[in-house]
Amino acid sequence: MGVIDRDQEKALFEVKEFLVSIIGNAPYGIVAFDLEGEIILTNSFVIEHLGMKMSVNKAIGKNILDLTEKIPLLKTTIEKNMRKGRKKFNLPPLKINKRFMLVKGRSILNGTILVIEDITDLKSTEIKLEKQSKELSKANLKLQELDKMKSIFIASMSHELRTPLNSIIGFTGLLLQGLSGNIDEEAMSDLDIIYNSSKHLLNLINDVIDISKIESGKLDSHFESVKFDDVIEEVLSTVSKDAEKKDIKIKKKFPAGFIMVTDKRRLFQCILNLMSNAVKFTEKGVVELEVVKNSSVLKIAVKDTGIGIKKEDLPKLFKSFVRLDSPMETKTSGTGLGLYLSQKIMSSVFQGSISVKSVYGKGSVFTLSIPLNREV
Amino acid sequence: MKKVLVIEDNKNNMRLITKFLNKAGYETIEAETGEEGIRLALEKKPDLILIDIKLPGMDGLETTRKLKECNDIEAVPIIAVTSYAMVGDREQYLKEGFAGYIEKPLDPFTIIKEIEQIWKKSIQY
Repeated sequence: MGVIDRDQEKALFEVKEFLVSIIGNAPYGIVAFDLEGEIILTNSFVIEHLGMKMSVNKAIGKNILDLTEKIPLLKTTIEKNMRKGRKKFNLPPLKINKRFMLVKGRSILNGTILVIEDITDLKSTEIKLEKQSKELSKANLKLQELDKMKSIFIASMSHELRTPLNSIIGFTGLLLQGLSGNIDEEAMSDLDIIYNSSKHLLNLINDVIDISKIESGKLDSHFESVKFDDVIEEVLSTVSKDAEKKDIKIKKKFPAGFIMVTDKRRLFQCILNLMSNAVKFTEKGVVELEVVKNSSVLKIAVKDTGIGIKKEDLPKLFKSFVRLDSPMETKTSGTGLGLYLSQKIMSSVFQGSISVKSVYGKGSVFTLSIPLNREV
Repeated sequence: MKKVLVIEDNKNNMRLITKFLNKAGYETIEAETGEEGIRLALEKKPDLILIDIKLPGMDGLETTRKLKECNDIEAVPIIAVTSYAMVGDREQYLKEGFAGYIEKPLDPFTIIKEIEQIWKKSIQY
């Protein structure tokens, strides 16, 4: 080791000043102390944020344990660390003068260095987020409750609506069958309108009930052995009246004597929906019901020669309460619930699907595909 | 003439059902409550019982359970008349001792056929 000259001394001094100024102005607290706890180096961040009432220069030479008197957790941690000679320690956030400090300690050659970070902003964001997330889950719970209330409301409302309908449909039917005495032809056709309208209203109410059940996941289903012919006959007898009125010929093609395990009511509902749509949207021509069955799947296709569906309208078909603009709109009645319901029933009751092919102005084919794994 | 006991609290429904039954050639006995229904069943020995599920006081399920415990009428078929399908549906009704159920609103054109079908089936088994 030689003697350093003045220039070298000056250069060293400058380097030291440079480093001291970096440390002094760092946005982190830095404090280094020796094995006895005597502070060798610190910066204004530490003085300010740990609440030490003195200048940086005055702090140097003081014992770290004396200066952390008011922060017991930090003091005892430093003490323990000095005693056991641990290499490093991390403290949980300390609250000092309403601010949150994160303190980390690391062993250096002959002492310890503490790095202190002000995490108040982070912490308050965290607290805010926590509060928001609590509020969100509260709001979510409330929404779920409201949704449940909505379903219960719809279910009980529909029940109440059906009670007077029982009388309207029943007594009109009684009159129509001449069971309450003779009725002339004109009154008979008026009664027919009452009867059909009340049946229509009943269907709407039933659709709404089914939808509320589907949306609350409570659609009931029960499977039993069903003669497929019976289902088809029931559908045909329901739609034949409307078809005759409009000069529509109904053709059918299906495997006779076929027995399947299915939910009869729901199957009937889906086929009827397609058939009555086909009749509704066809002025004259043919509505064809074709059923094809192989070992794993039953395909029920309903083909019409009606108005067809524009390509851009196809994706909207299966949404609830959607009725497409059509030249027949004013002439046809409906809620726009039928296909939505059929699709939901196909997927949730039968694990099946519904598909459509259509040429605008020419006609449409709707096909139900039902897996046959339940077949006996 | 075969006798049908109808247990139903709604006057309109009662009038409707009994009218259909009378016109189809059945004699009807009317009861507005479950208690009255049990009393009349014991007294008049009907051939068939139609019972509304939603009754004030003792409901249709309880009334049916009690009827099934009565010596003289345990074999009389009981048909539930209900405006909402119970969970589990048909099997559930059969388990409760019913011969079957018909759903409200009643279909005026098929009501008698429906009743007779259930009736016939219950006698077969």
